[in-house]
This record gives sequence, C-alpha cells and structure tokens, in this order.
Amino acid sequence: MDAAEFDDLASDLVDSYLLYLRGRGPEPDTSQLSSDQRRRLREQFAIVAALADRAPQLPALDSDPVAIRLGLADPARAAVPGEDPVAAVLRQLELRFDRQVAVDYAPAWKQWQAAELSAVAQCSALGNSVALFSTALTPLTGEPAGVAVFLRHYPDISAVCLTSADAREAVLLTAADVNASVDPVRGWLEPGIHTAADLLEVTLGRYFESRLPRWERVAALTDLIDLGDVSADAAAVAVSAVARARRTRPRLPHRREAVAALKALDPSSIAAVLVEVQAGRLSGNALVSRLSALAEAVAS
Amino acid sequence: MESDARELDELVERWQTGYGDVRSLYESLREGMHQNARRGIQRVLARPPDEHRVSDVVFTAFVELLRGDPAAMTSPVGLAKTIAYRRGIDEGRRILRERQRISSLDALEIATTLPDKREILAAAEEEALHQLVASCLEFLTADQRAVVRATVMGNQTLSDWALTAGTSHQAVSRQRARALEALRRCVRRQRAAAGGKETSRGRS
Repeated sequence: MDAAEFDDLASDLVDSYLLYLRGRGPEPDTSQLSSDQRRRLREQFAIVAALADRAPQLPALDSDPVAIRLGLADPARAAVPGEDPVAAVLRQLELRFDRQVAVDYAPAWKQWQAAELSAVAQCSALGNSVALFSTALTPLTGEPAGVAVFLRHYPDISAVCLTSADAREAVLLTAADVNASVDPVRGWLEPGIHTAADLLEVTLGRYFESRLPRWERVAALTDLIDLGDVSADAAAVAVSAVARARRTRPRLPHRREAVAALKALDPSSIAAVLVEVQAGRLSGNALVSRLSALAEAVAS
Repeated sequence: MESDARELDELVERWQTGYGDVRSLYESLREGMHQNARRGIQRVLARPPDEHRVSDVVFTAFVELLRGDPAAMTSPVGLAKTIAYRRGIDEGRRILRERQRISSLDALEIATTLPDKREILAAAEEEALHQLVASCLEFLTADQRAVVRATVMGNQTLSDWALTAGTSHQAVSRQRARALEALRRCVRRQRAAAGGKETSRGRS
C-alpha cells in the first residue's frame, strides 16, 4: 500500500471513528492493516477523540450561559462599552451559529413605518428570515395587527421578532401567531395568545436551532451500495407492499377504485423497477415514465 | 503548552486544598465539559445536540462536581469530564423518552452509578492530550487547520468542506490525513521532549 492509498484508507477510517464517537456507527475495523499502520492509526484516533466536538467555540466567560447561571460571570462586563444590548445579542447569534445566520442592518424593509415598532435588522439563514423590531409595547404582543400587515406586505419574511430595547424580553411571531385562530373548545382565540416572552438571545436561538437542517450521513453507505443481487429481496418487498395495499378497505370511492385496480398489478413488475433503480440503470425522468406507464397499464 | 498544562494542574491542586477560586476552575474545565456533554447527548441521539441542552448538562455536571470532596478526587479534570459525559447520556435518554411520551420517572434510567477510576483517568488523559494537540495545531498550514476544525472539531462532512473550499473530496480527504499525521508526529515529539526533561530533572 503506497502513501496515498494509506492516506485515503486512514481518512475513511477516521470518518468511521468520528461516527463511532458520535453514536452513529460501529467501531472501525483496522484488522486489515499492518501492526505499524495500526499503531499510527490508533494514535490518530486518540487525537481525533481529543479534538472531536470541541466546536462550536465557547463565548467569553462573562457571556457563557453556564457561568452566568452559576453566578461566576457578570454579563454586563462582557458587553462592549456603549454597545447596544440588541446588537450584542445579534453578534453572539452570528458567532453561535458559526456565521450560518447572517445579520443585515439595512434590509429592504428598513423604511417600514409602524407605530411603536422600530426596525433593527434582518436575521437570515437558508430559507428563514426574521425581521427584528425594537418596541416599547407592554406586553410585546399588544399590537399584532401591525405585524400581520407587515408579514402580508413582505411574504419573504418568515417571522417577526419584537424585542425590548434591553433585549431582556422578546417574542417571535409567525403569520399564524398574529391572526385570530379557532380552537374547537374555546372558540375564536385572540392573536398572540400563546406567545410567551423570553430573552432575545433565547428566542432567536431557539428559532434558528429548530430551523437549521442537521445533515445526517448514512453510516456504512458503501455496505448499502455493495448489496449485490437484490432481486429476491425486491420481490419480497414488492409482494408484501402490494398485499398490504390490497388489504385496505378505503371508504372514498376513488380510493376503492385504486385498490381494485391494484388487483391487476403484478408485484414482479414493481420488483423489476426496484432492481433497476438499485443498479443505477433507472432514475429521473425515465423512472417517472416507467412508473406512469405501469400505472396506466393497471388503470386501463 | 506545557505551561498551560502546569497551570491547570496547579489550579486544580489549589482548589483541592481549598485555596482555588471556582470561577478559574470552571474556566479551565468548561471546554472539556462541553465537549463531553455534547458527546454524551450525541451518543444516545446520534445527532448533534442543541447547545441549550449542552449548557444545561454542563451546569448540572459542574454543580455535581462542586458537591464532591475535592481532596478525595483522583483527578478533578477527569471527573468533571466523566460527569459531563454521563449527564449528557442522561439528557439524551430524557429527550428520547420525551419523544416517546414516556413521562413516568420510574422509566428513566439515569446513570447514577459512580464513575470508576479507570474512566476518570482516561478522561483526564484525553484532556492532557488535548492540551498537546491544541498547541500542535499552530504548526499546521492554514488549510490543514481549517479542515481539521471543520470536520473533526465541528460537525461538517468532508464533502461539505470540499464544497466550501471549492476542491475535490479526495483532495480534502488527503489533506486531513496529512494534517492528522502531522499532529501525531508533533504530539510524539512533545511527549519525548517532556520525557527527556523529566529524566534530566530526576537526575539532577
């Protein structure tokens, strides 16, 4: 094995080891390596274990949430002298999400005029954009009509966040929160009735935490790709899926018609499609055409 | 690097003898505790945890550490990391139970057993190794450091990083392999140098 080949193999094994550390896969098998290579890799694994999951970088001690809860830090000391508390929170937000959340202090809607609302910034990440307004309203959800009009006027904005000037109270409102809703038991509910205020940092943090995608890798993907002949498995899966669909007793006429049409479907034709997809011979438009041809044949 | 490790030892020793302050202790332990809390939660959930949950776990673990008798601790650094890891596992299990709507407290299998000495020492050793590796990171090229930070310390995949860097997966993969090999050699050198100093100190 030359150096480049070993680098490739070591990198794959390091990836597997990272998955193992994070509970997403088995411990990598290094038995195919020579004892010297195994020793080198073991030392690299130890380094990987020492480094893994050290990110994201922690904030300064005075802004560390744990230190603040323990009473070991004073958040006031962390603030840049003269810095607006809302701007400080937005700076922390960018750092916390490793710049995945972008803060724009001059968004297109900056000139929006509304009583009691003062435009601050737009926080965006992927398809989510939050318009941040500062307000002196008490409670913060006191004037939802203005927010509803804003969201209708700017459909690209996913939510509006209203914050107090000191960033200690903030609410996040989506279009659903600022319009009246119907509860089966209590009837019509006032807008914003279920919205609780929290720190600006927590409110925006929770929103983006729940919206930003977490890409998950498939453990041992190579094992899945190298399945070999899957005809028998594909046939079993197709027979079972078709049988399950045939057993249903739908009430709607068009569904009954569909189930009746399934009786004419030969599961082996589905199995053949599965095998071709797995082998990489059928995909995209060709796959859609093949499935629609199957459906038309069954329906006729 | 060596001075960092010595400072941590001295700090922990001062705390064990009742002269250290808790703020400095937390400051030295917090990175390792956050790392193990994240790892504990991930171990159960098999996905990167919410940082709010990680903070909760570190808070609980640090309070638990302070409740113990410092003088009786084999390695406060290892113990802090081990407690954080275990409380992370508890938190992961709690999240799973919440998802499965099992609210009964009886159903919770909290990892209450005391961590054993071997586990604590292994965690302490990992932290000591981290101190060495952190100093060795400075000797990598900027690109090597970036790929290690993103794909080992962070949660990015090599493919994501290749896309960000505008290069191929294979090139990034080899770059990381070379970076890890460079770190391994650097750590060996540091250890050998430290071993040499210890020996000469012993002779004198």
